[in-house]
Amino acid sequence: MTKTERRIRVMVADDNELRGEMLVKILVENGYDVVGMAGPDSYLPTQVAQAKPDLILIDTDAPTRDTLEQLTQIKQDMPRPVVMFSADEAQDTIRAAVRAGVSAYIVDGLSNSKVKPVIDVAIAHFQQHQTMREELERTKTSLEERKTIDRAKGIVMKKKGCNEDEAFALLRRVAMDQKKRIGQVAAEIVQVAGLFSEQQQRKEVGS
Amino acid sequence: MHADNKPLIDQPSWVGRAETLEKSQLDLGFIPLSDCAPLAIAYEKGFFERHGLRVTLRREASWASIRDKTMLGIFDAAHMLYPMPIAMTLGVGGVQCPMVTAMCLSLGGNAITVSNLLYDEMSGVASDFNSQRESSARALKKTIEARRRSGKGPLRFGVVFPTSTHHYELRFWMASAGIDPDADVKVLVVPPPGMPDAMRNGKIDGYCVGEPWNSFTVERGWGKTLITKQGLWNNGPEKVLGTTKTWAEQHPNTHQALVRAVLEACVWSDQQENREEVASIIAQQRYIDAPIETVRMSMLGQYQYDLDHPPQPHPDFMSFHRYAANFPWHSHAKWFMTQMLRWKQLEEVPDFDQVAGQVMLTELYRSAARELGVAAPTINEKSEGTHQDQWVLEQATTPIIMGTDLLIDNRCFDPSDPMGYLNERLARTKR
Repeated sequence: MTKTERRIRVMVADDNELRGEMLVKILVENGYDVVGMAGPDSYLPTQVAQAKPDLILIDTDAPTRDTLEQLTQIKQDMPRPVVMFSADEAQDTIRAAVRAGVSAYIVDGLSNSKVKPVIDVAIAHFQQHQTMREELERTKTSLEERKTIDRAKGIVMKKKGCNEDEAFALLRRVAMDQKKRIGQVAAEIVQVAGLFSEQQQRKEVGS
Repeated sequence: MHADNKPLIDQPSWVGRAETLEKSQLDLGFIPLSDCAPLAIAYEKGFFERHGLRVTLRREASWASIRDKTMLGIFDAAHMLYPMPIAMTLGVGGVQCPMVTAMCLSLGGNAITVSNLLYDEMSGVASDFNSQRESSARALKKTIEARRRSGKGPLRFGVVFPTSTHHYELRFWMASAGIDPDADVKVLVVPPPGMPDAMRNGKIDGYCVGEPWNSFTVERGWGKTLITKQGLWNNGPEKVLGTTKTWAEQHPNTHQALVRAVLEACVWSDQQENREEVASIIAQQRYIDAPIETVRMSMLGQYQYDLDHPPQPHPDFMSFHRYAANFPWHSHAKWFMTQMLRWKQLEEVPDFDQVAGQVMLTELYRSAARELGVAAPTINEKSEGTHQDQWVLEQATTPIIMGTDLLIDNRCFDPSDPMGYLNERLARTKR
């Protein structure tokens, strides 16, 4: 971006505050002018009227998206009309953006060639964030699953009077027979055992 | 599939035809509202599978997202606001994409609810409007005048989307009493599940939304319903199963199968004896995620306007099949086009017949209905505002019992002259 050119004014609306802040940082680093950040409690049309962005980047799945739609109407109080995805040549960019989880509202008058790089930055960032989250989720599940399997092994060992290896072999066999994951079988065992001990306790309390 | 879920005809002709489907794995979008029931029921009761389809239902947080994901082919089809495919085809709202629908999913289901504060204000200037619900708009008119005299700011009303049935219904209701929705009040867009909180927090004074978001406010005592959609337009159409024209052209057999599956679900969901189950299914977390009591009453044919009065019978509050509900009437599309013109969302007069014919796939509906042995209209248009009692539609494969179709302004809509209808309105309200 040359210095004589007016910077593109971008507003970021994301209910995920951390992701939104990161995106703002990246946009600023790339030479864009970030004129506002909106979270779940903002009323977007008011913010847009005040900040007058050229482009609004918003999480595709944000419930607040519909509030922006009234800006696309012919008759409204806002200073400038907002048109989203008006040109057909941007179709591929738009599809990629929506798939990545970001939607863009383009204020009338901004050419596609200027919009595309900003959206590309946002897409890359959203995808990276998504990968990170999935990674985190996987690590969390496997940790939790391991804990559940350990508990199930303990229950089996106590009931069957067997050692740890034998308990694990039993879990694995049941899982194979029932075409389930070991983690699933373990979770079921833990759940059922919990039910019995609850009944046991209730009986004890009742007697 | 459950035992009580018996097929409409014994030996379906589509059996063994799965291989002719262009696509059998479908992604369908929906919004958490009571009228997503046909899609939820088609999924839960195995109707999709019966027609060779493996469907994933995707819950969306906004109508904009439903529109965009369908337009971009991320969804094959979706639960859409009735005017949406028409608006998208005409390019109303910044997005232009030729759309189609072969079936309506539901009639009715909306209401206009206001805050207790506004209700009290209205009661102060006009008594007894709650027993004469059609007079509620006149009470609002008086309230607006009183507020203006005392220098109070304009009232704010929420609707769910610019090209929503709710938006046109709210404006239609106001205009019936001579209120100018653009000058006399502020109309804001608020997502459906956010409506009750927005009103409770004083961001809006009233709203028009679909169930269960009126009952949600009423049963908590946060506000009172003034009028239901039934009082604005008897048995008016509400949602459609929409897709792009391109998708429909590329997947004719799949589209047929999809319409058959959803039509079967509509027939099933419409029966009174199944409504309890419909309510318990759609209340679940993966659909509406609301308390069962909130969803239940309007689904069972009752409606409670406010906590001061007991629930009232409202048998046609929301219909999924009766009264030829699923037929994509060209005339309904035309009525919505008159509203887009009336409220200046559309600047140029469209070719009513061409657009209605392009968007509303009546032939596809007829052929799906024929295969299921369901009666279908043989005409594409009907007038509105002419039947104050139930009537029989003779122009159908077998005669169909039809519901009342009065409009709140007591006028008739003749689909052969949509501009005549619009001009009469503009002349009367100087808009």
